[in-house]
Amino acid sequence: MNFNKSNRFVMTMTLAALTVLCINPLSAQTAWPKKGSSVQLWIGYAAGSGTDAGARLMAAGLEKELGVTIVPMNKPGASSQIMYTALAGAKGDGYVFGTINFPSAIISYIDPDRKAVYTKKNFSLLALHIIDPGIIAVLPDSPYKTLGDLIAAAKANPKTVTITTSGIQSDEHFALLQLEEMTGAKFAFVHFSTGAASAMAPFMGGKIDAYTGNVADVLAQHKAGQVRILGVMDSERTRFYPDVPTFEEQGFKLYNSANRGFAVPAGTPKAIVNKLSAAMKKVMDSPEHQKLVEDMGLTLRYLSPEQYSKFWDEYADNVKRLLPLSKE
Amino acid sequence: MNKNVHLGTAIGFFLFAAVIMVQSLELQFYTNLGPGPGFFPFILSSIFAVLSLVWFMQSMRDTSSETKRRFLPDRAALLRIGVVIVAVSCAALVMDLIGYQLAMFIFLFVLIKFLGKQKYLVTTIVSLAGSVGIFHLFGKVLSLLLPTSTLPFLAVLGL
Amino acid sequence: MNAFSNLMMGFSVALAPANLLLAFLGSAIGTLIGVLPGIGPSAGAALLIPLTFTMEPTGAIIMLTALFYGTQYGGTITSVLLNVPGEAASAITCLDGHAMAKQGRAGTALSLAAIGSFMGGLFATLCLVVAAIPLTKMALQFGPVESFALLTVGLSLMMGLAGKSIIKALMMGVLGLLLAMVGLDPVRGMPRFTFDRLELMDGIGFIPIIMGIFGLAEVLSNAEDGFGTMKLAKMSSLFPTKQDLKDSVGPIARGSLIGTGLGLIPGMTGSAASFLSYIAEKKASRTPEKFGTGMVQGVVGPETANNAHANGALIPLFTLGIPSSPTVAVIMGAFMMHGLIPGPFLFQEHPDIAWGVIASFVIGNLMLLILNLPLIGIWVKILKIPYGLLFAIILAFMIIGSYSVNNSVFEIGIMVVFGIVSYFLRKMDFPMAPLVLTLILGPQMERSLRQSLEISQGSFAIFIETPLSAVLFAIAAVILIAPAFKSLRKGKNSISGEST
Repeated sequence: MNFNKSNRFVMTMTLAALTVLCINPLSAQTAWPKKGSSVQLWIGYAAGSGTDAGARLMAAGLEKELGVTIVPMNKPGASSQIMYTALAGAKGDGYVFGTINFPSAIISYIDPDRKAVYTKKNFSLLALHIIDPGIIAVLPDSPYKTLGDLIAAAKANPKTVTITTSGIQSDEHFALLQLEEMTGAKFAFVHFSTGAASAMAPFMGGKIDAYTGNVADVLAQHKAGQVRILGVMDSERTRFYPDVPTFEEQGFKLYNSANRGFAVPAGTPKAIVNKLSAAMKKVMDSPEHQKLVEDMGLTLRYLSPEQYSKFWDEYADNVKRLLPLSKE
Repeated sequence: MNKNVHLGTAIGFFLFAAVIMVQSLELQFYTNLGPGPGFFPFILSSIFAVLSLVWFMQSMRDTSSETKRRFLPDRAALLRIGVVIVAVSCAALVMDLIGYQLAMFIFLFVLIKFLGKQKYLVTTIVSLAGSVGIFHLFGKVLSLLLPTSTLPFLAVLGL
Repeated sequence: MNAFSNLMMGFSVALAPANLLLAFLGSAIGTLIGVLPGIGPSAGAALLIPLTFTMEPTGAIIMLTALFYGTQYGGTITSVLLNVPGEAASAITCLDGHAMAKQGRAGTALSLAAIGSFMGGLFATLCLVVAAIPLTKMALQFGPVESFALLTVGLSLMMGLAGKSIIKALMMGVLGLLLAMVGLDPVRGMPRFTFDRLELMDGIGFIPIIMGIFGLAEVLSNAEDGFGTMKLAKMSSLFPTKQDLKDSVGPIARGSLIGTGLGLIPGMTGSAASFLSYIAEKKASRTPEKFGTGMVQGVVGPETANNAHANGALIPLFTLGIPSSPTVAVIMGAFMMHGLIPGPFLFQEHPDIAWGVIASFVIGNLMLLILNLPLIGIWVKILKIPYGLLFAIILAFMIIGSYSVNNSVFEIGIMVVFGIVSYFLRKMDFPMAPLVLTLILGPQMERSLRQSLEISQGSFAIFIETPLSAVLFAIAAVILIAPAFKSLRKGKNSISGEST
């Protein structure tokens, strides 16, 4: 090659240009988010739902933390599957992220009947935000005074003890299937696909023996002394019902909760993922945010992207194992 | 003509019911606890099929004067109806592509001017209000985002 | 009585100027939200909740609950004037309400609806004050088994919606039930008839369907005759005549009972309440065949039931902390975000807030009346807009409304399909009301049936063994068989020579 002056100039310029081009994406990352830009938060449930409320609280906190406008957009339908599909196909540039609820997210792609076009690989997890541990409750005048009583009865007389869930393949359903697996008990599930709240009235009317739900579902009833909570499915007692022992304490290693977190499309640069996740953690550490979430009866639990991913995989294993049982 | 339309629709209903019946056979008919997902669709579509046949017979025997009446309105009316249907469908189809504001503006302008035969000024004002006005009202006041364009050059304009 | 002295205290709270203003704002915004397509009360309430963070709890709750029952009235306005249901529960008002508008009696329809709504809300609030606990105990008797029985009664009343042709009414009813089956089934939780479309997994959207059936079909029907002609009779007085008011007494009484009763039972929606009220009015009327042509009872009854239902649905929230519908759940969320837990404890810990809110229900309903009656003159002017302009506005309205259900254009497509189909079916004298009724009742029926069988582990005997259910099934049987007996007796009479 001829290394004369003009050629050298061209080569130097080309090299410089290439270098600039390589650095640019990096600087775009560290410059994220652009001041004055807006980031969309896609919420997989309708306005007014529990997920929506928690997500909007996070959005408000993030706005202060990051100095950008966060625009919440509801994209409900098919238990978030419509939103997940859109999120999987969206651009991973850090200007859109979405809510993730499991078990519904996991079920949506593991269950072949749901015909999802994505899997976990299509998402980069950001953080876990809120958990709502599962509980089992009975009426105060119920013959079952402890969790052990209930399980013993379900074992002795299979399929006679009725218990509510918030729908087929809901987190309560999976929790109970795990419990059955562990103890050999057999319950008679009554599924309320319109949600745990619709199960409350028949339960309080004495039509159903026991109620499975989450901590936040029974705040009002517990306060009024209208239920007896038999146990909490978490590794520690919940601050809302300090007198209620965990399942673990009573000899049943069952951990289950409604889990709400956030994710971005896969391919979003790692720097942006970490920055967003750190911002979320800061929001979750702030007293105002904590008070608002606590008022709703919910528990904050931060998991970093790696921890969240691990948690997801563990949950997915459970789902894979129990899915055929849930279809009986 | 009226009678033929009735008969045709009855047959159409019958076929519809037949399709549903066949589809519901693929679903589980009965489970160990009670009717399965295919139970009610099968029974209901069978009833629908039977009712369609009954209606068919009734229409065959119906000789009242009403059946002699023209079913579809005249050409001009048909055109108007067709335009409305096409307009709404097009608006829906392109809304995600060119954005709400543009789609709605064209929709309103065309319908009000050419079907409604209103004056240009009124047409333009209402079209603007219904497209740009509503877009900003819903977005700013109600936090409800109507679609923006997926075409880059339009998105840049804020459409 | 203790309840009334508490209520008086509540009034002193509710009448504080700040709270009065908030009640007013809530009703006004609620009415507007009801008029606007697509945004239902829960979305509206949810969007306003952040605004209430800075307010003190009583005021915030007062505004949100006023918004809640305010939306019921807003939906009526568009139903009467434009034949477009602004809200699911207002759909049935389209039938006679819009017919009245075409006769120049839009003002009458709207004012009677306002009066009826007020009375219905008042009745439900009275029930809350006087008999909340016993009523809630009664409502708790309705588990899945009893709910299924009750819905069967509702279904058997569908025959009351039949016009001239029973076959056609039956076909529409069955079609509605079939349409209700689209989505995830309650037995397996698997997609059924969704043709692999995610948007259909939750079922075919109810709002797009009724927008198509009522709104679009009407526009198409008007398009037939051309867009220049004004199809409305000259506007008569805005206010009801003495006869109208007399005719409204019965519907208001019946509507209040039906609405409040159904509001107490979780799973029974406001649409069910307004529809069943319509059927009740038809049965109680001496001229049932005139329904659909502008009968006052066909407007007042459902509107009363509608508002009574909205207020009645708040009763289980106060007595047991149970939200009986997603919208009430939003209000419950509002309570909790302000650190209040609804339920009997609220009355002990914060009696001023609890009773203040209840007193504000009375005030709020009164405000709706005061707010809306004068506005009727303005709303009615909408009808003066030339149809060549109005029809496009109506269409735009419906496009936005269908879109905002799920933020997706799929629902617009649903509206178009149902609009076209219903336009043709109407030309062949198929009644749409039975279809809408079964569409409303169908999903809950299948769910309740499945839940009942899960409780009984497969035994159908549970429907007979449960006393309340057995009684309801007997009623349903009577309703279905009675007309047959009637026609048999008619036949007998004519054979024996008596004139019928």
